[in-house]
Amino acid sequence: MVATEKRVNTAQLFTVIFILGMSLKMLMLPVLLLKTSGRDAVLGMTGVLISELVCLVAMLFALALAPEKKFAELLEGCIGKWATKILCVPFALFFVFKLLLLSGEVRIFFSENLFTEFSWSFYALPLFGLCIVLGKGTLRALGRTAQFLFPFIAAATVLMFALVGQLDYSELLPLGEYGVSGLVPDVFRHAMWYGDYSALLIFFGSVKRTKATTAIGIGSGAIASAVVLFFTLGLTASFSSVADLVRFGQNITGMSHYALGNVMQGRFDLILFCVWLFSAFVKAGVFAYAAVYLLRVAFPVGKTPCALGVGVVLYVGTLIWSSATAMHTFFMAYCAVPAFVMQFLVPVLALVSACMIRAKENKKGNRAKTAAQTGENENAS
Amino acid sequence: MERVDKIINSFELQSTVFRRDFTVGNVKASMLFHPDITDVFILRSVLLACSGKHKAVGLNELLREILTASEAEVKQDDSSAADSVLDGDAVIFLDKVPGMIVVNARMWEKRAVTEPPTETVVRGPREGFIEDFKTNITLVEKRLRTKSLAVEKFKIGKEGNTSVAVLYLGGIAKPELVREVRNRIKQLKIDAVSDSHYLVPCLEERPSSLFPQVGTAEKPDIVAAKLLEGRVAVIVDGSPIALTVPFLLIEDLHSGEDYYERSSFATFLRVLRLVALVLAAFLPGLYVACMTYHYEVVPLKLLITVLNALKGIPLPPMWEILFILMLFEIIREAGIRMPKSVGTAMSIVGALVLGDTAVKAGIISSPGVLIIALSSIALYTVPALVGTTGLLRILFTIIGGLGGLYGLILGGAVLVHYLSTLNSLGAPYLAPFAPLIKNDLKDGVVRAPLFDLSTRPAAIGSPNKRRLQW
Repeated sequence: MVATEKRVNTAQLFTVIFILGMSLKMLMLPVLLLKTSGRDAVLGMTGVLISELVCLVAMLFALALAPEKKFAELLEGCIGKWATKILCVPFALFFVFKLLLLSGEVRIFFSENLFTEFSWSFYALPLFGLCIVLGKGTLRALGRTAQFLFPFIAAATVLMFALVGQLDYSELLPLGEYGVSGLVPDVFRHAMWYGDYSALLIFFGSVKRTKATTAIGIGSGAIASAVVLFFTLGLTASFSSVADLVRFGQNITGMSHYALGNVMQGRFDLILFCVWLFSAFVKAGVFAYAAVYLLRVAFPVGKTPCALGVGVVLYVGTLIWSSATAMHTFFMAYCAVPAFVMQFLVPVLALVSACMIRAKENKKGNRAKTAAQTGENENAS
Repeated sequence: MERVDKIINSFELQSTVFRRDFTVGNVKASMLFHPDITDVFILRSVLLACSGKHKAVGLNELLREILTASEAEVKQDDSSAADSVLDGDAVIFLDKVPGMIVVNARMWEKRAVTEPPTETVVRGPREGFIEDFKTNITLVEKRLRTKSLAVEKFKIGKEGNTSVAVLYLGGIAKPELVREVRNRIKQLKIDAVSDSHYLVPCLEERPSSLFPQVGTAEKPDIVAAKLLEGRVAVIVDGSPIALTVPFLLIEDLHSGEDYYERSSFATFLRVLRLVALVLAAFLPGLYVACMTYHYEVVPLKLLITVLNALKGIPLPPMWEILFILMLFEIIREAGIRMPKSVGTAMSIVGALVLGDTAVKAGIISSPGVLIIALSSIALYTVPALVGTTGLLRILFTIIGGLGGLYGLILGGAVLVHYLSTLNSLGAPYLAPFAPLIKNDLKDGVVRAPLFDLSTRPAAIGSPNKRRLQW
């Protein structure tokens, strides 16, 4: 066979980080925060994005410290084999739940904007099929898919912003009117919407690194955060009055500002949002891949049964939470604490493990050097 | 001579092969040949030369002193005599002398070198491959007069014994690629290879895929250019189509003429082909999605016009479009197969009677016909992908009808992911876009001026990267 590159390159990592950083957060999170915190949602979102960037930096540094090690190998070096296996189960569940959340958001988008009747128990099947295919596929294919779709996603995002109507940013003020004491619990309740960069664990040991990989990764995350923040600013400026929000519904495209065309010209904005949704599908693929990877670390099973298992769980979850609002309520009420722990635990563990492995390797290297020097000295004497 | 009898007896029908006995000096000799595929004048001249007065006693002397004008060679091993006879060669045996002389006396009917119908150009060379193996190889060799050009020939097929040539440029093609192509072809155990397309599955990593992973070319200038990029070509006897590997999806958008046009115009043509390809695959699906679920996406005046045209149409948009698509495919297929004499009449029946009458009768709508007509014309701007795109548009019509924009976007993501998993003998199928190869973008959708294309495509992985210095 002619040899082919199996690793993901820096450019592909850039696109994946951008998609991870932006996609889920732009679907419903700004609206949900706006509903609970009013115009202070902007502050909440800023805090979230900063904590996300910190997690990203930790993940990228871990990747740089031990570039050849898979995530499971890193953990095994730090906490042992069995602890790794046990820990991978909740990590996998975290990504399965995030997938469920993402699919719910996609559902809301289509059911509220594009379909009068949208039977999710039927329409969810192809989406979960895609998750299964991407989950049992290769990382290289996932990277290439993200890279190929990136220009479309980027163009749709730029057009959305470029063609947006007039916004009155004075509506954002006064900010922090009610203090941060009320804001923190609101933000905390939405913890399931954060921690997306934890999914980068699948890229450990599979990135064709260059000197600029870490910097490019951080840059990508920063751009994604800026996009989300700008979007939130626009949304908050438009709907700082909750009465308007209730009138227009809760989905982002309910904003008249994004109706780039009107009825006479056709709703071009809907097409743009649909193209933008490629990012949600790629993100679903990354989560599915992460879930399958972690399950395979925990249990000695093949890729296909794992991916099928994830698909089945997702479908059952869809049947259980037939209403997206009920799902949101569940995630906010019961998943906030574990999700909050997970989003920090993954990067922290990765970074600590990578540091330990690096230290061990350095020690080994020093010992070898000392032994060689001693040998040389003895020979000389 | 016993060995000559043995060879003749090895044929199912002994009369297939002719035997002429004569003497060379004092030595008895026999000549075997296949009368249907040998040139009688060459045979006569060989016989005349051999039967003159001389004292040649060995095969080498006979070749050196008597058969000087013939294209012939001495073979010490006469086990391949039957194969040589079947190739149209005359085989000469000398009594009690081991080995044989193989004289090229082939006379196969072949057509003239003409411009291939699928790769016509306004500017550029018009020579195309024909069914003759030697002519095709010569056409390439004429363009690449270099010692690096390697033409490895071997026979494939237990019954067909078809000649196959693997062409590459030493030092430019990746050695492991050449090895892989050679091995894959040699591993093929088949009765006969009627056309080069028989070899396509063994060169593809996913033979059942909807997308071709092996390139085809009917013109020697295109094959020569591909060889210069580091690719490997395969020419099969009896086929006017050469195969080239590795093959990337973007090559479907390229035409040989692009390199003979101004770069700006060539780029425009490529963009046009890309737009046409997208229209061909997605337009019917998008129309069905909009007319079934998403009226708001269509501008109001256009929507009113279309809805007026749809008034009274009994079929829902998806079924209507599928019906027109089927109608088109049937007319197309019949148009290819039917005799030319009735072709024109049937075209009129197909286009006017079926199309026009069906619209007037209110079975199908005029916007539906317009959409399929536009999509079908667009389909032929990328001839290599007609089959693939034809199937994709049926698939996306169904997806659009069932899932609207949601289905189309999801289907698009699945399609892109599927393409991302494809490789063509080590080269990523979606290159130069995924993975992004900046250097190769100069000859992707954009065609940079020729002097800017100073390096070979990195996706192919040639060890010799530079091809031009200016």
